[in-house]
Amino acid sequence: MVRVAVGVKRVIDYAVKIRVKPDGSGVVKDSVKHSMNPFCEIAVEEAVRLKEKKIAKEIVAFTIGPKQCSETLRTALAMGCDRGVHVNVPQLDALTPLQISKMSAKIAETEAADLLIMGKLAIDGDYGQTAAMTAAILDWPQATNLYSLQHNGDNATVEREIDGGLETNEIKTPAVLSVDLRINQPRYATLPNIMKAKKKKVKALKPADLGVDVAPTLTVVKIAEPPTREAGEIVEDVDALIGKLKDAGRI
Amino acid sequence: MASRVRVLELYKRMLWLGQDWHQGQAHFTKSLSNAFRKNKYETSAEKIEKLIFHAEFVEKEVLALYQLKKYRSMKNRYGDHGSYAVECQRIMEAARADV
Repeated sequence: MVRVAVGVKRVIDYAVKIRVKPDGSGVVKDSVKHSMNPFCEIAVEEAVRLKEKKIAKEIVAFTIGPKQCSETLRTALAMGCDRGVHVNVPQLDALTPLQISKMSAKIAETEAADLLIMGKLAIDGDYGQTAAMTAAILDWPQATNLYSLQHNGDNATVEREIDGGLETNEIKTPAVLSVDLRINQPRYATLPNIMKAKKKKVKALKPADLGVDVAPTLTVVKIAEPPTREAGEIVEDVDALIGKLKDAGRI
Repeated sequence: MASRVRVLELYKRMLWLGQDWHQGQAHFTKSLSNAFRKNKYETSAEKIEKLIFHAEFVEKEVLALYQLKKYRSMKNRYGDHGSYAVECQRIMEAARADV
């Protein structure tokens, strides 16, 4: 039976209307509702289903971020993970996917994971890089954007979502997997499970423990909202439409 | 009474669900507490069972609503569009197959 590590990220809740700070330095985060990245929920659900099918013996959930991330970790534990790892980084915004990947790779090694499952992207950064980078750092095979996962204990058969449809791969473990939207429907972490999760062990780490430097390597120059959509114009007939398109230099 | 414990646990479980309600947790909590308070002095065991069943039904509906809403939002934002070129190609192939 395999040991699974799942990475989860605390992001601004998907339903919140995002507001840009007036000085353009970032997005308003204080007093804004945060929750687990929806794709991370799907990753946790996939790991828990492996455990329910008796393919996985233990699931370790890990998160990187400030102390509020302990709530996100507790949600993962409530969904069915066995224990957690919290790498404390006060300023998560200052980190790049490369630094996250290095930390994730180190955690996968120290926890002796056979599978590292992540969401395909996080809804705040939209990078979609972490899973692939982590696989490269570990020198493990990777399968991203998964539509389905079947694991027999030694290797896995996966279907990936690609432009033309689905691609079926066979992949040897240990491996890094990233899940896409349709692989499963994650369970809600209900109150009784949240209460039980308080008893599960969480290991606290610092980036230095993983040998990763978290000095910022990227500066955000400006963040701005997309330009507001202007009202459309109704034209009388096709000739007028063609005339307007020509005037605008479109044809 | 066993039903008192069940009802209290049910109430606490449903309170917890309020955090994701689109009209805000305060609105959800108000509706929930009103609904429970209305039947506070119910004594008939049969009626209490029916009310508990109804509350659990609403609990499941709210959970289903949350899951569906999240799935639909993610689907609209991130996926399922397919590349335009692939979509056109599929339509052309389907049209040729008909001929």
